[in-house]
Amino acid sequence: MLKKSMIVCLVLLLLAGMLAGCSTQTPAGGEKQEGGILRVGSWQEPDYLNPPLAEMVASSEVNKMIFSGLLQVDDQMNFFPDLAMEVPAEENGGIVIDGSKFTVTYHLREDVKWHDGEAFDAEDVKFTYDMYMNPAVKVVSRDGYDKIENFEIVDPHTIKITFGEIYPPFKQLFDYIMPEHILSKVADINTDAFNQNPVGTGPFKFVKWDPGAYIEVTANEEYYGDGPYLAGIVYKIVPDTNTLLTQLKTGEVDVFINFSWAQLEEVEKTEGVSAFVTPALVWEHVDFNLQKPLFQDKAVRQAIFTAIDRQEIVDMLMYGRVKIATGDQAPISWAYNPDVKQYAKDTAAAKALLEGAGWTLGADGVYEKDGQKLSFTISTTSGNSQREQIEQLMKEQLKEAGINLEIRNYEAATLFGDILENCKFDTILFAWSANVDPDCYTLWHSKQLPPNGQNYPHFINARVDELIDTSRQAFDQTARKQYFDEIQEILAEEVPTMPIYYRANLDAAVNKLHEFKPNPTLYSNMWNCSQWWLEQ
Amino acid sequence: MRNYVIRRLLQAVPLLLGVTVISFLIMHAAPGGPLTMYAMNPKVSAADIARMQAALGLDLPLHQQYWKWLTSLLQGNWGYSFTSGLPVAKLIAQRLPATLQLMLASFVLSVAVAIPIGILSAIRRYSVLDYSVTILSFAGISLPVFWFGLMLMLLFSVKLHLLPSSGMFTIGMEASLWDRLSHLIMPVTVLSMASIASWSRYMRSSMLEVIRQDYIQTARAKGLAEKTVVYKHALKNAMIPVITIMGVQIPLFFTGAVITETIFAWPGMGRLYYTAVLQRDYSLLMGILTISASLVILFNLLTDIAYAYFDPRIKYD
Amino acid sequence: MHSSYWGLVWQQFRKHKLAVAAAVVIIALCLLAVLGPVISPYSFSSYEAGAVLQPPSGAHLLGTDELGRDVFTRLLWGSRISLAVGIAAMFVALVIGTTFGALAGYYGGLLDNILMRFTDLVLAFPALFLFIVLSAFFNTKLIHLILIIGGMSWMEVARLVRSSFLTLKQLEFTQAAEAMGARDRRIILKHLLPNALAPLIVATTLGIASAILYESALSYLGLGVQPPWPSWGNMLSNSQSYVWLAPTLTIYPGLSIFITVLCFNLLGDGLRDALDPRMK
Repeated sequence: MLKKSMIVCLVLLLLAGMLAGCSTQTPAGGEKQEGGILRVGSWQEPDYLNPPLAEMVASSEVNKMIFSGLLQVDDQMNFFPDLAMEVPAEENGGIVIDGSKFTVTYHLREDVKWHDGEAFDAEDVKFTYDMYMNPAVKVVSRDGYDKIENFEIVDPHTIKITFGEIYPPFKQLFDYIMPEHILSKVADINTDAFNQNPVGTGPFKFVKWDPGAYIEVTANEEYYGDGPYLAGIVYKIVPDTNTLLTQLKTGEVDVFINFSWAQLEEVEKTEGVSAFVTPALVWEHVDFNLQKPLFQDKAVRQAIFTAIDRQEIVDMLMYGRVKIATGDQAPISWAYNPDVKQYAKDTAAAKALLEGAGWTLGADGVYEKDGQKLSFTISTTSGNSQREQIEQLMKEQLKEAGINLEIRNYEAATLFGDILENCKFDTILFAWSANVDPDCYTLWHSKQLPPNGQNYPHFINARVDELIDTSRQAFDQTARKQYFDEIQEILAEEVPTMPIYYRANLDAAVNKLHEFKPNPTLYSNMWNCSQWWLEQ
Repeated sequence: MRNYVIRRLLQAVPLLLGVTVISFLIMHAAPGGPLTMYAMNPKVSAADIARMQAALGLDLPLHQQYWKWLTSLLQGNWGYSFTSGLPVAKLIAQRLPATLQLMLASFVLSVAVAIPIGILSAIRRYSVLDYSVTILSFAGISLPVFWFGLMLMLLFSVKLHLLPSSGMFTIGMEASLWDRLSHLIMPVTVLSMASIASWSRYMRSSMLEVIRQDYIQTARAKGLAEKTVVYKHALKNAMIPVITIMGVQIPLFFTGAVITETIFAWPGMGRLYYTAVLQRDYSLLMGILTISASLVILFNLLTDIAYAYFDPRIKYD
Repeated sequence: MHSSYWGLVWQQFRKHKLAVAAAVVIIALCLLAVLGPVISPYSFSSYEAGAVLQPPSGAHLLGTDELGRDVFTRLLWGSRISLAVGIAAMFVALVIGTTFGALAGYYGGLLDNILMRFTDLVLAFPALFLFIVLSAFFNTKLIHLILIIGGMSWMEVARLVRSSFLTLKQLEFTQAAEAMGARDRRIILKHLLPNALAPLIVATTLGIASAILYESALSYLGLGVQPPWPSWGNMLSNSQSYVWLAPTLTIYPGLSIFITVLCFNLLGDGLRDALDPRMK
């Protein structure tokens, strides 16, 4: 983990070193230049420019430039204040716990204006809350907002929110504030023109959305924070990643978000461009369907896990630059526990485990027991070459250990909408993207079996249930950590899923762009776009 | 002929209706739905999904959903996209110009190249020209579009800096005709490869057929100038298979240019359609399918009318 | 009578040296497809972790792919699937399309209307969705693939055959045969169809290429052959991400498709001349 952040630091230092030789880490100072239009290339197009309605990553990238929230998260995964004056904590009186409820107090900035000139105040925050809770509005999720018991406006710049239960991830709420003076007068928020023509309080103002082509934003001169230094940003939509790389080479884009490993060498070869490899909170894994009799014996699951060679997969497909996953928490998360049962590839040990469980090697080289062969299928999103490659490597590795793996892939909506959702899979390969708060309730709790939640493996473990419940009832990070540690230990022992590796985000930016710091969380790479500046 | 056309137009209505019903049923038979990605989001609860289903009208029985769609359409309301909330009519209208430009330019280029080289290949059969054209045509179909497009980009944009690599225009230069044309060149070339190859083969093959027919021999025997023989007599008849193919393939360009559009970041209907399929945006899809089905029916009618023009012996009644 | 007709055809065919050469190449390809995978020392799925994206060498005739597998072996295995799919699917399309087109073109009137409107229907409906639905319900067996691709490719053939028949129907020899009281089936099969061959042959050649490429598009939807089974189509699409690291990976399957299609075309040219009723 240290190695990865070293690489990021080195790249940043390299950028810094290319300037007049002195440190440029601090925003104050004469080094920063103003002006210039930055072209960011993305292969995905946003759906709604109205954050509570938006589902896609591309939407949050654009929304980050236009809107502000009470708090934000930086590239080191720490919260910092945005529209709020400070991060509420027990120490500063921002959080007051009263039994099983707690009250958060936010003091709001007084110098914030909406892009149309109106002043920002507590009414906007209250309206945002009402919008989330309004059943007529098609918000993606009101998780967390539905735990709010009382919303009090103390004065135009102070609010007190009371939650009906202890909810540690509360700081992730209100990450976008919506304009009360505009949206409260609208007939139907779901289809209003605002969604393609937003007004926010962020460092950039919306200018234009040419559908399928680009979105243009321009600098907000009245921005309350430091910056912005860029005159504007153009968010170009280029759906093919090879074309996007070509645009980087011709200088038609300055930033390429999310390129692939197969393109890494070419990006590094391109002059004037740097590649950023940022370990993320995303982990690829293979879930077992524990409803199938074959997988109900722990020995079989552990044997399969021991038979695959994840290091080889990572070395071949990602040049060894990501870490093998040991569990559902990524190394960059504070909840990460590396001291769990390890599963390095050991074909002999895998075979021993199987034989110990009563399996015998058949004439065709595949283990069998009571007339059943040790054969099962794996499914993933068809057309995703990285995942298909992982499957093919696994198949050969398992063959060595006398296990037969068949590959059967499906188109994404079919895979997730039917095969996964209705638990029709034997094993399934896909990725989970964690949030800043390590809460894993929906994944492992017995109350979250589909369709209620995302416990697709059908993992039922009383101790894990207990640990998850307890972890959701405390704010103290140290206390919560021990629960998460134990959850990861149990998961590593029981193997309801085989974590494969932790993803790293691959982004490319021209060297002329400074302060570009990829953010591993869902707060997106645009989190500090007000600080970006271009060498002229 | 007039009665024939009127009959066909009248038949088009139930046909179109039938297509929409079948399309609607097939769409809903496919696993997954517009809310699949929401179900994958840990923050979205089952209650949230149920709420969204109701809001989109997806909890109604199928025939009611279809009826709602049909009656709205007949009143001029094409509905709202499930993924972006935008009116379907607006979404389609936004992408239509891009597709029309591409289709039209590609059609013009294909006809301008395929017909002449097809004819020449037929006249100079088994010559070097004929074989070169044959080889190039098949190379055109066998070459993967993504590879060919990328090679063109690398050559003309990266190495030679002659053409912009992708997109419809340079931002800020939307009004410049030259800018738009320079963006159009590569996508049109790539898109037309397959149709040039295909149409020129048909042209060649049917020219060969017609040239050998008796009345052409008679015309030659009468001593008419070679050119007249070729153009006046042979060409008209030879066009029949060619316009048949054109009539079938042109409507397919409407949503079928998706690979070219993806590679060249061209904001056309193909990409819109493909993304809508992946996202199961039923509302948008019904709108697009209605238009593309109309095009298929229309072009087949036009082809049949064209037959009568090119070969007056053909009768339909 | 029968044998001397085919004897005549063969004689005509032999005159086209290129067509004969093409036929030989096609037979060679089929032989390679059947025998090649058996002879090759490599399997199409076993990989060498250290030998990724190697250029051609003594050990690997065409180098290795992104997982260190022998490209030549995969190409041979892939030819089984691609040739089978290409030829069989086109055959299915030919049979269906010719039947529809011949009946519609010859009988005209109501039958023509019904058949052609049905063709419009199939052309108009969302094939992509159909594939997605099918991929969820069917296991990806080769026969399903062939039927699906054939089932989506016959429309062009139908319209072509019909257009030929519309013209031929009006010609004197047809009317003469009808006047002589010949049965419909005889007229269609013996008199009209041989004259409608020219566009059919073009359609077949082009159709084989598009059937092979169709399979590649279907694999994006999870419907084509599943990994690790290679086909020329999916080898092409896999090479797309590696176009920067190993641009030649695209060339081999593309070249294979090119050679196959070219040979079928030359063969078709030769056949058409040999079968032409007007050639003495």
